[in-house]
This record gives sequence, structure tokens and C-alpha cells, in this order.
Amino acid sequence: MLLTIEESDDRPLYQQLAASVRRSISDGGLAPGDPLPPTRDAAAALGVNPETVQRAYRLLADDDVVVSRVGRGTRVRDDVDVDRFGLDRAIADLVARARDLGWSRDDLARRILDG
Amino acid sequence: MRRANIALVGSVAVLTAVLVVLVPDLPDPVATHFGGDGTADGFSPLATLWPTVLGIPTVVAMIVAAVTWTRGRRPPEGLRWATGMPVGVVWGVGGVIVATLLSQRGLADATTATIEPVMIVAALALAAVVTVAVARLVDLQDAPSTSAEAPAGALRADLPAGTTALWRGQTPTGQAALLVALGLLVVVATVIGMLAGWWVGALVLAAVVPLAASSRFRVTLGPGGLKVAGPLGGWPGLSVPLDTVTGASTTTIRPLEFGGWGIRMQPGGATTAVVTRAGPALRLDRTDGSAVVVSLDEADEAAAVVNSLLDQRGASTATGPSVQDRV
Repeated sequence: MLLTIEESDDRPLYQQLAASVRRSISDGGLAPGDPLPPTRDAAAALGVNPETVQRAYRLLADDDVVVSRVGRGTRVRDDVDVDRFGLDRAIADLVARARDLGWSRDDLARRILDG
Repeated sequence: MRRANIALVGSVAVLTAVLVVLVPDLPDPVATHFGGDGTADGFSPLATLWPTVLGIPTVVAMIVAAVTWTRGRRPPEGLRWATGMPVGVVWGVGGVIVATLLSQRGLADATTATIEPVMIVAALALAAVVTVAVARLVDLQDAPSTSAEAPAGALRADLPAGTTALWRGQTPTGQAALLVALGLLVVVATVIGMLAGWWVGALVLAAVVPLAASSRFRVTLGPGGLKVAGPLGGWPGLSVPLDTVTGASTTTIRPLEFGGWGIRMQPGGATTAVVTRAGPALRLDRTDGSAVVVSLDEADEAAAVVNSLLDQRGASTATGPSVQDRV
């Protein structure tokens, strides 16, 4: 499992973390039922505020990707649909390729809307 | 290493002094073995006491020192207690022997000697305390820090500049071998307990603790470095700061080359291993010339992430810091 946050990404860190968890699920780094790092461990390792990690986990829980239990930490839901994250991964790759070409997010969004 | 050597020599001197005090009051022959019920069932001439009581702890301590007194190198965090083991061995082995001698002090006939299990436990507990205390005193060198990037040509992950990454995985487990070993241990402990007394069987069964602790480790890699956490609430474990790592690669390791499974140190401290099966492993080379290897199926992915983190370290040292918390 690989979690990343990027300086050049202008999204809030908690959204980047949540996207990183989705990416790990789509590429097999995290399987249904797998535990996520404890909040304080992830925060210390990434050098972010623990509230940032908690907010990311809450976002994922609200989207039925993970489940949190007192005393058991946060885990990927057993019934998570892994295939759905394939689209997320394709979008992440598209964004990365556009960035490499010097496109802004607005440029990419306009291009997608134009069809 | 001067403090470590002084502690070892001093411990043998203390053991010698204890013998000098005890020997005049011991029977001849002296009891040298006790059965599971605590009664003496093996005897030796008193004259053999000196080479045995001083020789065995000293020789065992020197063998342990050859592994853990790592030519001046401080072991990874989490294993530093091991540097107290040579002295702990003298107090442990010597302490158990002294406990058996105390049970015979003033007796005319060693056949009437009995020993209480609590005396053995107390001797071992004292040895554990000495081990931890000496580990704090031993003067070993920390690996120096570096901010250099990973070597050219090393595996790298596709991380954009300015990325902070956290990689998490788990060592593979040879589950079949582990279950067989646990099963055998329970059978052996039961048989020994029936033959030699319940507390002897309990001591044998206590070996399940290190066995379970050698079976599975969670591995985390991030800007702080490597952290390995064992199955018993994170114990046993070790950590290696990223600023003492010069590069990461993959290798193949076998438990037998490290003397078994779990967290292992090679004699001289050149390599510390977290080995759970024969196969691929992550290798971290350190600034003091040592290495740490960890059994991982995704060893190439882990090595690539480490090298990319080293590159980020080198870049941020040159240009300034890092991710801000924008929450």
C-alpha cells in the first residue's frame, strides 16, 4: 500500500490522502478487509496533522470505502467494489499525463467537457 | 567499547567474589543438577566448581558478544537491548548457578538440597534488568547522517518532485511451518511437564512467545525511514532512520544464513535481518557500512519507494522544505 501527498497538488491534503487510499485499492495494494495505518502512525510518517488523516478516513467512510471501529482501527470494507476504483485510477493517470504536458486542471476539464 | 568490556570483566569479577564467599560453606561433592521436583539428582566434586561456574558464563558471554558487540556499531533502534546481552548472560547463567549453590549452603550432604523455582525466576529477572541497564551504558557509535540521493541506476518509484510517500506492507509468513512448530512445542511441553514437573513444562511452553514473535511483521516506509513492528503489540521490532540509509535494493535471503527466523543479527553486526521465509527481501544499506534486510514479496516496490524518498531528501536539502499542512 502506498499513500502519497504532493506539494504540487493544490487539493487539500485530506483529499489527496483519500484519493491515495482509493488508488491503493484499485491497484491491489489494499484488499477488502485490509487495515489502514493508525491515524497517528500515518500522520507521523507523512508529517501531517493527525486531524488531516482522520478527515481523510471520515471522507472514505462516508463514501462506504472504509469502516472504522473503536479499538479495531480503520479497515477497507469487506464488500468494497474494487472495480469501481479502476475509473479513479484511470482519471488519476489522465491528470498525471496532462500535468506532464503542462496542462492545468482547468485545461483538462475544458477538454473533457468539449468531448 | 571500553564501558562494555569493563561491565563484562566486572560481572565475572562479581561472580568470582560470590564463589569465594560461598565455596567454604558448600558440601563436597556439590549438587550440580536438580530434577523437576527441585531435588538434587546430579553431583560433582567441589574442585570442578570453579572452572564450570566461571567458564560457562564467560564462554557463552563471549559468543554472544561476537554477535551483538558489533565492532563499535550501534544496532538499529529496537535492538539496542541486545548490546546488554553478553553481560546479561553472565548474570543469568551465573545467577542460576549461584541460586543452586545457595540452596546447599551449610549442608553436610548435598543429596538433601532442594531448590525453589522462584529462585531461578529471580535470577533470570535480575539478568534481564542487567541486560537493559548495560545496554544503556554501552558506548557504541550511531550511524552518521547523510542527505545524499540514492545511487544512480537504483530502482525508483514514479513519484513527482515534492511528494511525501508512506509505504506499508507485511512480511510473508511460512504458515504451515509455523503451525507445525507450535504444535510440536505444545506436545513437547506437555510431555516434559508430565515427566519433570509442571513448571518445567511451563518454561518450555513459554518458548511459544519468541516463536510467535518471529512469524509476522508489519513494515512501514516513509520520510522517517523504516519501521518494523512485530505481532505482539509491535514487539519485537526495529527502526532505521532514513538519514542513515544510503540506498535500497532487492536481494534473496534464507533463514538458515541468519540462524533462524525472526529478527536476527549476524556476527559482527554487518547485517540485521527480519527473515520469515526464504525468498525476496528489501535491503537497506547504511552509512556505517551495515545493512538491514527484510523479507517482503513486494521488495522491488519497497526499494523503489525508499530510493525515491532518498532523492526527495537530497532535493529538499538543496532547495528547502517540504509539504505544508494545508488541511
